[in-house]
Amino acid sequence: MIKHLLRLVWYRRWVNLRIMIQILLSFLVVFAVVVWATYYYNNYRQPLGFNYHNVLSISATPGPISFPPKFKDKEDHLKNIKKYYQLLTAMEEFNEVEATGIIIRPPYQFWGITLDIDVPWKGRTIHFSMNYATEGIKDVLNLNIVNGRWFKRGDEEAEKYIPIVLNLMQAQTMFGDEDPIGKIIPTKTSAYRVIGVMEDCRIQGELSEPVGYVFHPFMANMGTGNILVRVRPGTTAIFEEKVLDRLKSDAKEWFFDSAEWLSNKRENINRPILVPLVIGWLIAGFLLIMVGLGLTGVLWLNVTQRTREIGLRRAKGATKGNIYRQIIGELSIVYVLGIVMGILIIIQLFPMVEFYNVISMKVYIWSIVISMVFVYALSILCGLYPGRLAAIVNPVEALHYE
Amino acid sequence: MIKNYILTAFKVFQRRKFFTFASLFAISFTLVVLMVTVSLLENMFGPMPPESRANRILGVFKIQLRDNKGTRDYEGPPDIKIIDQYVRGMPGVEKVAVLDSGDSTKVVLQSGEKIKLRVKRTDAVFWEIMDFTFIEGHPYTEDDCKKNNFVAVINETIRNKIFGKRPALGKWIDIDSEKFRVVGVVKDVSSFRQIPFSEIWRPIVTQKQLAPPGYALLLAGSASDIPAIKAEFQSRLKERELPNPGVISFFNSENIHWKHITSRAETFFEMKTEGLRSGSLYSRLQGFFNMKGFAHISFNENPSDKPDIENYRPGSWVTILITTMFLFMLLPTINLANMNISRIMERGSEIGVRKAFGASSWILVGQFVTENVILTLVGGLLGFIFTLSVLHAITLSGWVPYGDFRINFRIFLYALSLTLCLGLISGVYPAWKMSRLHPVTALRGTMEGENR
Repeated sequence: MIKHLLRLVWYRRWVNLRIMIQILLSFLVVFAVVVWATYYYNNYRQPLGFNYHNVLSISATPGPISFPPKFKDKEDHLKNIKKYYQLLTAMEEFNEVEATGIIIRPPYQFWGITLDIDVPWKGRTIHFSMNYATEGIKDVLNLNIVNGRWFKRGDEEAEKYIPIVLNLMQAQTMFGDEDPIGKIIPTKTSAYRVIGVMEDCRIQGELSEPVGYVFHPFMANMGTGNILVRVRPGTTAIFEEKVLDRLKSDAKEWFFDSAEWLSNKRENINRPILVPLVIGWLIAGFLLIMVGLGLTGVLWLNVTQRTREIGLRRAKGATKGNIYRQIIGELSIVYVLGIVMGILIIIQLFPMVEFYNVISMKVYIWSIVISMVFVYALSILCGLYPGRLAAIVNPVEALHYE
Repeated sequence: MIKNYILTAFKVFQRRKFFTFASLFAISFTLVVLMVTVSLLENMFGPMPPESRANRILGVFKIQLRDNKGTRDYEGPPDIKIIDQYVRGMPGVEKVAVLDSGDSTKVVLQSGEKIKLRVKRTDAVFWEIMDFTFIEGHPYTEDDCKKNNFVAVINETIRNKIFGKRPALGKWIDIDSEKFRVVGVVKDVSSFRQIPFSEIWRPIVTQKQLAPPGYALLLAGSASDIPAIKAEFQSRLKERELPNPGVISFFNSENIHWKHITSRAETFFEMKTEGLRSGSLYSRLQGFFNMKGFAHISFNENPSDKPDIENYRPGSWVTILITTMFLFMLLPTINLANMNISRIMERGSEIGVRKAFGASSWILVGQFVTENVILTLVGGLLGFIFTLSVLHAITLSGWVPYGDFRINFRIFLYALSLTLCLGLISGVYPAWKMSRLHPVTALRGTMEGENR
């Protein structure tokens, strides 16, 4: 059967070559947008690791402000941290407040200050993506500590070994199956001690890639700290004003940015990358409609041209189903050839294209599979009508054709 | 003759309505995507007010510093001392402006309601590099910046929001609980123009420190000076000493002496596309599409062999645009050509008769190409109308604050020539193939010649 179909495909090789090129190109287009969506979806499925509902974020910069941030000495740090804690205590006096804490890089903020450290570790260099937080952050963001403990007040003043909390991914890369608690990590300038392990925490948002993450006790001499406040559900917008007024009166020479809810920040960070995705899909969608129309047209004419051949087959005893299957079968063979070429091109070409060269194998393979199904569905959809036309050919009329 | 072709063409279009529809759909859709994309990109990078001189503007957006021990590095915006030391006074540079990447702020309306607005701090030179259209008043002056005067320029929409449609000159607005005097009102700027865009502009205080992340803009004397300026900047970075003591100190207790600096002077387009070269897919996309894309600071301790910020030349954005457009048009072109081949073969008997009566191959090719070009032009016209409505819809949708997308004459000409190319390419091959058919084969109406 397949051999026979192959011969038929070969006999009309130029028509089929054209159809194949069209299928191949559509496959590439579909792949280009599917890979994008698969990537986001794959990230989205991973646990977020924190809870962003009902959390207000206010950036607080110890004054007088200077830029670039002048990180002075230990005394500055100790002085500022005292003030920060005073402000936190003031926040907790509000009835609406459930928990408060300070963090350097709040969730859902792509731009701002990042502090990264490369640590030599067992002959490798391990990258620390650092964030800095106080005791209260665990309750504000509902972080889930799976092993050891979170920071407590006073950790900020640790002298010899700076306590750090790793996320599961970071712990896995550094220690494998060993228990990381209490392990010392020396660097060129200081030394860290692991005190806790928490669930993966993707502070940049649900669409970002899961990365190894390290929490360091809050440092008050790095410029801006962000006060996060978890409030009771149903708290109104007036609360923002009340809080800001209180902060401003408590720390007169400090600078406070306007307050923003994490849920708003979440929307702001996700929109700029979701809108282009939607536009990409719209364009690809229209392209596919266009290809669909074209393919249907080509197949349709193809069938009309072969009326005599089909009539002869009917006359020799082929059923309607046989003819239908023949048309779809031929199309499927052309499809398979197109897809094979497409996959070869993707494997050869895409790793060289910016954007597509950082995608994990898993996302790649899934995207290829999804695109294959998609394009197959499209091709068959285009073949349905012409196939039916072929199937209802009347042998008597067809042989009479000329 | 031509009239005859046109008449035949319309008859043919009417005969097979499905194909006419499919072709028109393909042509107009291709055109819509191309024109909308070009228009969006042009709004982002192309020269248009207030960046009419975009092809002469360079920026120093980012510097990288290393300390003498190689244990720390800073990557982020330059500070004012560095701009003074390396950027100012380069030959070929007419003007140097300093500004920040903008911030959000609360402004009190007359009704007492507070709204969030974007505010940007700039120096006085910024207004000379850009060509804003002032509806009222004038920009603030160097003196205002020196004295840190509380003056502001606002855009038209904000003026209308705060003061009704009445003149705002000399009136006071309340920005983050401080009173600012309005000295000028400018026409709205699209938020796609990330460098000049803001709703409120206020003087930057450059005497002491550059307040939150800022950068420098350079206006070259002419576009041809740009390579020389870039080279001069690189050699200055190598030759001149870093302003001492270390300008940017780190988060540890001791001050650090930065020793090594790298940076580059680049166009806005180069800066944006450079971000696409490193990091996870997520951060690349955020970097490109997030409008706050260049207010980023990173500190690294013990940086492991991070590359220096070296010169990066992505090629002009026009080249990239044309390549992308070419790739994009591949599918529609092949799709159209495919349909045309099948359609033309269907007209075997007509071709046969005409050939038998002595029409040469060239005449036939001419006829079929004309037919195709007519179809393409009709599709082009439809596409043009759709493009206008899509752009209008984007403008109205508010996806891009202050976005005002229009088609200018240049874009229209590009699109028209592209459409003609599409028509010619997808028409010539089928016509040529058909014209070579033997009259006898063609008259028989079986498409033997086409199968092989």
